[in-house]
Parts: sequence; structure tokens; C-alpha cells
Amino acid sequence: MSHDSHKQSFISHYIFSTDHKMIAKQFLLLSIIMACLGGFMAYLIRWEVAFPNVPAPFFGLVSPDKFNAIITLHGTIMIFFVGMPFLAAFPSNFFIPLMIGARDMAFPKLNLASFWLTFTGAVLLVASFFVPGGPVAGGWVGYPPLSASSEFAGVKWGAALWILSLAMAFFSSSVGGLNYLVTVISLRAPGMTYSRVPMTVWFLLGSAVTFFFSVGPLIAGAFMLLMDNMFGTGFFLPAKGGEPMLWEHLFWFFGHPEVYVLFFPALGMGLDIMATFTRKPIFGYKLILGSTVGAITLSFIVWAHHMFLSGLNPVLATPFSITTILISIPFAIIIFCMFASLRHGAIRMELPFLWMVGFLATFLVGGLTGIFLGSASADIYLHGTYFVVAHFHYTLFPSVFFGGFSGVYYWFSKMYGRELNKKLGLLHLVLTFIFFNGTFWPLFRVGIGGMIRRIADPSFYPQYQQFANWNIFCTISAIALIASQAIFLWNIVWSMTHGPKAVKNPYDSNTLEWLADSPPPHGNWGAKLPIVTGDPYEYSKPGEAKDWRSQAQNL
Amino acid sequence: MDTSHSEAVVYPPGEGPTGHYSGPSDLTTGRLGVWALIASEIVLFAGLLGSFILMRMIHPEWAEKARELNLYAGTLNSLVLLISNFFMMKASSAVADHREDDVKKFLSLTILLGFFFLLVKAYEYSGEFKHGNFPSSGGFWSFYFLMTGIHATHILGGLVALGILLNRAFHGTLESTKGRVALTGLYWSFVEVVWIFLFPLLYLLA
Amino acid sequence: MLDALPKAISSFAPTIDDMLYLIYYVTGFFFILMEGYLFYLIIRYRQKKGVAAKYEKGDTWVQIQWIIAFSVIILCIDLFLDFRGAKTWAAVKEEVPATDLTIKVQAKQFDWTFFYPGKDGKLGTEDDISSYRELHVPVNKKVHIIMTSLDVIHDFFLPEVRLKQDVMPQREINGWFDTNEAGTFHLVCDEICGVGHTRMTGVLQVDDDKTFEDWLEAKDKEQHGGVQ
Ligand code: HEA
Ligand code: HEA
Ligand code: CUA
Ligand SMILES: [Cu+2]
Repeated sequence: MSHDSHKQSFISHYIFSTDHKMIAKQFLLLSIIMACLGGFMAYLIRWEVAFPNVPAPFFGLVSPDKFNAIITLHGTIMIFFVGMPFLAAFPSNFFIPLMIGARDMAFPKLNLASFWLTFTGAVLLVASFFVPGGPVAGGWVGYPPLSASSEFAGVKWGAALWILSLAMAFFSSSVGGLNYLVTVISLRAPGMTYSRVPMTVWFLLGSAVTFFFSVGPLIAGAFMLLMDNMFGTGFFLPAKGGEPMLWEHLFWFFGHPEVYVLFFPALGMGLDIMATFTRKPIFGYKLILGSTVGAITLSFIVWAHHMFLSGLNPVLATPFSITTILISIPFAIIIFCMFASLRHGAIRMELPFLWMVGFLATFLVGGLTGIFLGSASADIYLHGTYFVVAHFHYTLFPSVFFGGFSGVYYWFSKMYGRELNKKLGLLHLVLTFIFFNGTFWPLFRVGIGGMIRRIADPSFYPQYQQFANWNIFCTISAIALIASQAIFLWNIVWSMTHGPKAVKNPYDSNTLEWLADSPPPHGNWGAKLPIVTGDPYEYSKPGEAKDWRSQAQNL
Repeated sequence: MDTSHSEAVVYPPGEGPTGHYSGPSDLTTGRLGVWALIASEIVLFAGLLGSFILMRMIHPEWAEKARELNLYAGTLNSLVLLISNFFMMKASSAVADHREDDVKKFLSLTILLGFFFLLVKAYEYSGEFKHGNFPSSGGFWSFYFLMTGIHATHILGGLVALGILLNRAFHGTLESTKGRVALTGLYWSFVEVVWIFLFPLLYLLA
Repeated sequence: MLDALPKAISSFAPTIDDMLYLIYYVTGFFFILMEGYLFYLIIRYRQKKGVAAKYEKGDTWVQIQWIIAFSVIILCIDLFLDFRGAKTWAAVKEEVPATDLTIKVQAKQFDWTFFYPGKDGKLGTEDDISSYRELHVPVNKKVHIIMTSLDVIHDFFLPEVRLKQDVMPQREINGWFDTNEAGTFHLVCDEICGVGHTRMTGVLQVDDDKTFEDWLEAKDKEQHGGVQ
């Protein structure tokens, strides 16, 4: 392998590196670029909803066809090209090998391929803006027949590119996930037994496994949809003997587990951060893992809660409603354990911790509002309204951004060897928290009022005029929210080059990654691998001089 | 992004950046990898087969269409795959026993039968086309061409892997990667199993 | 929060609203409890000089008992919500009662057409009476609707009735509703269906029996010249 050589060319170092840390940074950079794009689209959506038919600054008029395309791509980009790379691929690549004491992933070349697959997917998606007929416009869920034939939406190449781009993202995350799984099974450092594996790793694995077992059928579905579009097959077209609901089933069998795929990494990082800053062991390590297994299992049998009103046999609604609401139990246990971990702690109020609290506080709203939707009878009214939009932004944004940022603030010094500016970080947190709630909290009320999602022109609906001011308020908050992210971008760019040099273990934390240099060299550890001698969360053990004890002491 | 320059690190034997400490050889990761690949294929095919079975239950009239398929070609192909798997097993055990000539012989036979399978498939397709049955001719045909097409792609992938192994066997370089023969065999038998599901579902379910 | 709900004009609308209120109170309680406790914990247990964190791992029996108790409470609440919700759902979606009138709802990109049986009392015959984008129903009557689409998926949403149903292409889905107040209400398409989705609205006109009959008569004359 080439990485032992002194002189690595720019290409092999930055572009086709097989070093897990470089690949992680590539995923991070890609997700930041895509977040800017997805954020810009969020601005266009909000602008059109608040000021219908007024040309948006920096863009122009968001006509209905453009609006439909923009929400579709906003959803697709945010979930598959921001959420997945930023929350799953980036931390998995960077921290799994470091936290289990490996030198790299089990299959470094597969890892490289996984990045370039996602990258190609992103490029294809962006390319779909420029093909004749424009990009897809059927919502991120792509329900056929609308998405299956250009006859209905006038989109042909855009649809094909969108499906291909999703297929790339699916393959990328699948091979990525396999890689993480094999890595954890076979490359743990000596002494790193399964009960000593940190939560971040467990939850990243849980996320990968959940993804893996739900995506297969949708890959099959994607083939079918592509063939319907390109070769005129009739998988999903009733006129040709096909069945549109088949797609809905395949999509949501994946789609529901997918939302937990985006939630678990945030939870895992949150737990590690919590232990470090409360100076306490995690309360109920095994119980949390058990609950998570329960939640994953349940997540495979709830998908039809997105389809209560789809023409599904109504008798099936109640069983699916029951399984859906039962998911509150494992999550309640996890949250209970988190609270118990805070109790009797000696909490250090540092940035990563505060971001993690922001994650908990906002996610709770999203989780609880899921119960409204999970009750089939209440969903009769709420389905397809802005209540749903508010619900899923209150779950996704906390996971991807509050959770993701807590991780970045926690580990930045490990990644780049320099520290982030804390004052700017605090400002970023406060503004994000305020404007996030400002953007989405009022939307619950708007949704209860009956305003439906995915409409380009609310001014056409006299009954929604009462919400016009609320919508303007949300839009202003959203613009401020997006603008606040500039603080973060500035902070990382500046700190990467000018920040104060970081020490190895600034937070007195136990887990292995803090034993490596900041940034860790190629191969992570020097000549010797760490030999793990203890649990990851041995903080404040009675009778010990220090309130922490590293998992390995030989480095 | 990263300004640090990687230093040359000297690793103890067997502990490169991808050093393997837990398994006896590089088989562990390789085997895990193939099993993982198979697991992902299983979920993919489960989606396909599940969708097909569901649709088949909604449309009993598809039985008519199934009767138009070339049952002889399908049966022949089932046999061909079965025998090819048998040779693959022979090849694996030949590798284990260092019988180099047998390795070459059995790998060649496996590959030959794989090609024969594809040939029969192509013949079947051309027959379908002649009768005016294309992927766009309605639900059953959409499924038939998609499922057999994906399966044939897997055969093709397996043939590529087998070809590489055979090439190595002829150049005498197989020894260092001989673990891969058994792994490819694992994959090959998976492709066979998929066909065992496809064949009755498509051809026989009337 | 829930006062933004539009008027409720069907017999089942209040039961759906009850469900919304019930969940609102349950989740509202947990929201206040959990957010409050979170805030309290963080303030109360912030690092203080000389106070070390307590070393506890949540593996003692007492601690596990707490968690079991908590889970059982949540389980009971869950099952209660499920049970209540199932009853409401069944009344709206599963049990179609005897109805007074059958109307066919036909969606296509991007409008609604409603068909009423003509003089022969049957749908799908020559003398059907059609109405474009206006759904007229008599007040206090139970209406059976048969929904279908000619092209893509649409969604039939009557906010004031609290009725929603996706309309599938080439399939007929049955539903029912009643009304207890005359007036003009809203109909929207709640599933993205193409460029015109945002304009795919309609009107639900609830009239007393007489006005309804007159309207139907007039439509009949207009479409079939009044000839029998
Ligand atoms: C990270 C993402 C994420 C997460 C974690 C969740 C979590 C949940 N979601 Fe959500 N959801 C989405 C993302 C997410 N969702 C998205 C993207 C959509 C829309 C897709 C689209 O249509 O475009 C959606 C849509 C959606 C629907 C379909 C709505 C519709 O279209 O009509 C439903 C219905 O059941 C639902 C339910 C739930 C439930 C029950 C949970 C549960 O997991 C929540 C469990 C957590 C708690 C309940 C809180 C903790 C527990 C307690 C504090 C104990 C007390 C609680 C009780 C006593 C109940 N979600
Ligand atoms: C992870 C998922 C995610 C995220 C983060 C967001 C973020 C936002 N979303 Fe989005 N949204 C979806 C997923 C997401 N959305 C989905 C799936 C849909 C459904 C689509 C459909 O109906 O088909 C949707 C739909 C949707 C709608 C409904 C459209 C409609 O139905 O008509 C609206 C309207 O208000 C909206 C607004 C916003 C706003 C204002 C933000 C703001 O929070 C945005 C703030 C901006 C940023 C956060 C980006 C900039 C940040 C950086 C540059 C920082 C650096 C980044 C990294 C380190 C990675 N979104
Ligand atoms: Cu019809 Cu939206
Ligand atoms: Cu869901």
C-alpha cells in the first residue's frame, strides 16, 4: 500500500486517500457544501410561502413548477446528502477506528469507493437542474404515477438522474455500513471487548445496520421506478397493471427506519459527550443498548403510519398505530437514562455539552409530536399538513444539526489539532436555538389550522390568510437561522488555520481517541496499539485521585 | 484541509494500518465481507421477490403470462447452475489440497457453464421478444425481465471474479490469494440459491 | 394551540378533535415535565468546587425498578391512546353506516368532478349529474363517497369535516361523512400531484334539503335538458 511513502502527492493525499480520517473530512466538506445548497432551497421555500408570487432576492420568481422541484430537492439533499454524510459517514469514518483502537477501516479501498459514490450521487443530483424538463418535482417521497412517467409531470431525465443519484447514495451508505460493521467485529484493539465499546460506536453501528436492512427493498424499487421511467415498464402504473402503493410500501419500509438512522448517531455522540461533561458513568449502558435494539426492531414494523390514508386496508391502521406509539417506550427509557446520568453529576458547562442539551430539548418536541401523527385517528386530520412539516423538522434538525454540531465542537481539536473559538461557538448555539424554534414552532399551529404542505401559493387559499403573518415570522426566523450558520463556517475555517494549538485530551476524557495525537497521524497510533484495560465511562470512581481513567494506559 | 504531513510509521509484523489481530488470517475480514455482501443481496432480492409475490397475488391472471415462458430453457438453466456449483465446490477443495491442475480444470468448467447459462438466457429473451413480449408489455413482463436481468448481472459479476482467479491459477499466482476461491464459491452458491427462488416463482407458479 | 382548529361540522369531527386534545394534554404534560426537569438538573448539578459526581451506573435493582415503573406508566398511556384512537378510527374509516346519498368523486390533474345519480338512482349511467369543483351535499344526511382518480394520486381533504383520503388512480375507494351545519366549506388536494397541485381546490357546499334538491334539479336541466 502506498501510504507508507514519505512523499504523497496531492492527489493521493487529498483526493484518493484511503486514510479513514481524510475520507471522513471529505464527507464533512461535501455535507457542508450540500447544506449550503439545501439551506438556500429552504430559504426559497420559506420565501415563496411567506411572500407568494414575489420574486425572491438572489433567485427570481419561484413558480409552482420550480417550487415543487425545490421542495423535492431540499428534502432529498438534506436527508441523503447532508444528513447521511454529516451524521453517519463522517463520524463513522473518523471515530470508529479511533474509538476502538484500530489503525484504519477493514476495507480502506471500499471506504474510498463509498465516498466517491456519494460524491457522484451529489453531482448527478445537481446536474438534474440543467437537463431538459428540469429536476424531479414529485416530493422527496417520489410517489408514482407522478414520478414514474413523464406523461404526468413532464420530467424525464430529471427523474432518471434523481433515482440514479439516490441509488448511488444507497450503495455508498450500504458499503460504508458494511465496512463499519466488519471493522468493529474484526479490528478492535486488544482488550476492547464489546462491553467496553463506547456509545458513539454502538449507535453508529446501530444506524448502519438499520440502514442496511431497510434499504434493500428500496434499491429493488429504485430499479423498478427507473425502468418505468426509461423503458416504459409498468411496475407502478395502474394503466399497465402496476400498483403505485407497492412503491409507497417499499419507500416507507425504508423511509421510517431511515429517520432513526439519522437520529441514532446524534444520540450516540450525545451520550459520550454527556459522560465526559457530567463526569459520571452513563446510567444504564446495557439498558440503553437494549432499548435501542428494541427501537430498531419496532422501526421495521411501523412504516404504514405514513400510509394511514393512502388507501391501505383500514383494518391495518390500528396495528400499525399501536406499534408506532409503542416506540415511545424505548425512547422514553433512553431519555430517562440520560436524565439519570445528569442527576448527581458535576456538570462542566462547555460548548459540546450545551449543544447536546439543545439537541435533547428540541428533539423532545419532535418525538412527542410524533405521537399525534402515530395515532391513526388524529392523523386523519394532521396528515399532509404543516404539523407534519413541523414534526419532522423538530426531529431531523435537532439530530442532524444540534447533534452533529455537538460532535463537531467536541472533536474539532482532535480532527484538526486546533481549537475552535468558544465565544463564536456560543453565539452560534444561542442564535441557532432561538431561530430554529422561531422557524418551526409556529408551524405546529399553522398545521393545526389546516394549512397543507407542498403548496406553492398559499395566497390562493383564503382560509390560510389568517396565518400569513405567522408565515412571514417563520420565514424571517428561517433566514436568520441560515445566516447564523455563517458564524460556524467562519469559525471552522479560521480555527483550522489560526486557532490555538490543541492538547491531546482537553476534556479529561476516557475514550481511546483522546490518546492519539491531535490530529492523529496516519495509522493513528505509534508503533504500539493501545491495550484496553477499562470501561469507557469510569468517571469519578470513589477512591481514585483523578476523576477519570483512560481506557488504555500504555500510550 | 489537513496540514499535517503523514510520517512514515514502522509497524510490527502483521500490524499495518489494516492489521488484523483478532483473526487467524486475512480470511476473517474477507469472509465477513462476503457474508455482508450476501446479506445485502438478500435484502435486495427479498424486496424484489416480495414485491413480485404481492403483485402476483393481486393479479391471478398473470398465470397466463407465466405459461408463455420457455419452461424447457428455464429447467435446463436450473440444471446448468446446479452442476456449475458442483464444479465450484470441486475447485474449492482442489485449492485446499493443492491440486493445481484440478483447480484449473474445475474453475474452467464452472466458468463455461456460467457462460452457457447466459447463452440460454439470451436465447430465451430473444424468444420472448419474438412473441412481442418486452419489459414494457405489462406487469408480469416487467417483473420477469427485471428479476432475471438482475440475476444475470450477478452471474456476469461472478464470472468476472472467477475469470480473475482462473487467470491467476494459470500464472501460478493463485497461492497468495487462494482464500478467495472459497469466498467466490460462497457467492456463486448464493447466486444459485436466488435462481432456485426465481425459477418456480416465475415459471412454475400457475 | 389547538384553538386554531377549523370549525367541526361532522358527527365524527368532535371525536377526532377529542383525540387531538387528549394527546395534546398527555404530551403537553410530558413536555413540561421533561423540559423542566432537564433544565433543573443542569442548573442544580453544575460543577461546584469540592463536589464530585456520584459514581452510579444504573445497574442496581433499585435503579432498574425505577425504570421498569416508568416504562409501565408509559406503556399504559400508550395503550390507552391506542384504544381510544382505534375506536375513533373504526367509526370514521372502517364502518360505513347506511347512507342516504352516494356521490362519486373523480380527481384528475388538476380539478375535481362530482357525479350524482340521475333519475334512475344509479351512478355510472347516462343521466348522471355532474358538478365541477363544487361538492353539494344536504345537511344532516350521511353521504357515501366513491373516490377515484384518472391519472396520479390526489388527496380528498375536507378540513371542516375532518375527512381525508388519498385518491388512487384506477381504483375506487369508499368513504362516508355527514354534516350538521349548512354553509360553504373547503376542499383541498393534499397530495402533491404536479404543477397545478397548488390550485387544485374546491368547495363543499352544505345546504338544507330543499336548496340541495333545487340545485340538483337545475344541474340536471342544464346537463340533460330536463328530458326524462
Ligand atoms: C429523525 C427523524 C424522525 C424521528 C426520530 C421521528 C420519530 C417519530 N415519528 Fe416521525 N417523521 C419524520 C422524521 C422523524 N420522526 C419525517 C421526516 C417524517 C415525514 C416524511 C414525509 O412525509 O415527508 C415523519 C412523519 C411521521 C409520521 C407520518 C405523518 C403523516 O405523514 O401523516 C408519523 C406518524 O405516525 C410519525 C411518527 C413518529 C413517531 C411516533 C416517532 C417516535 O419515534 C418518537 C418517539 C419519542 C418520544 C415519544 C419522546 C420521548 C418519550 C417520552 C418523553 C415519554 C412520554 C411519551 C408518551 C407517554 C407518549 N412521523
Ligand atoms: C435533515 C433534514 C432537513 C433539514 C435540516 C431541513 C431544514 C430546513 N427546512 Fe426542510 N424539509 C426536509 C428536510 C429538512 N429540512 C424534508 C425531508 C422536507 C420534505 C420535502 C417534501 O415535502 O417532499 C422538507 C420540507 C420543508 C418545508 C415544507 C415545504 C412544503 O411542504 O411546501 C419547509 C417550509 O418551511 C422547509 C423549511 C426548512 C427550513 C427553513 C430549514 C432550515 O432549518 C435550514 C437551515 C439551514 C441550514 C441548516 C443549512 C446551512 C448550514 C450550514 C452551511 C452549516 C454547515 C453545515 C454542516 C456542518 C453540515 N423544509
Ligand atoms: Cu391533486 Cu394535489
Ligand atoms: Cu415514520
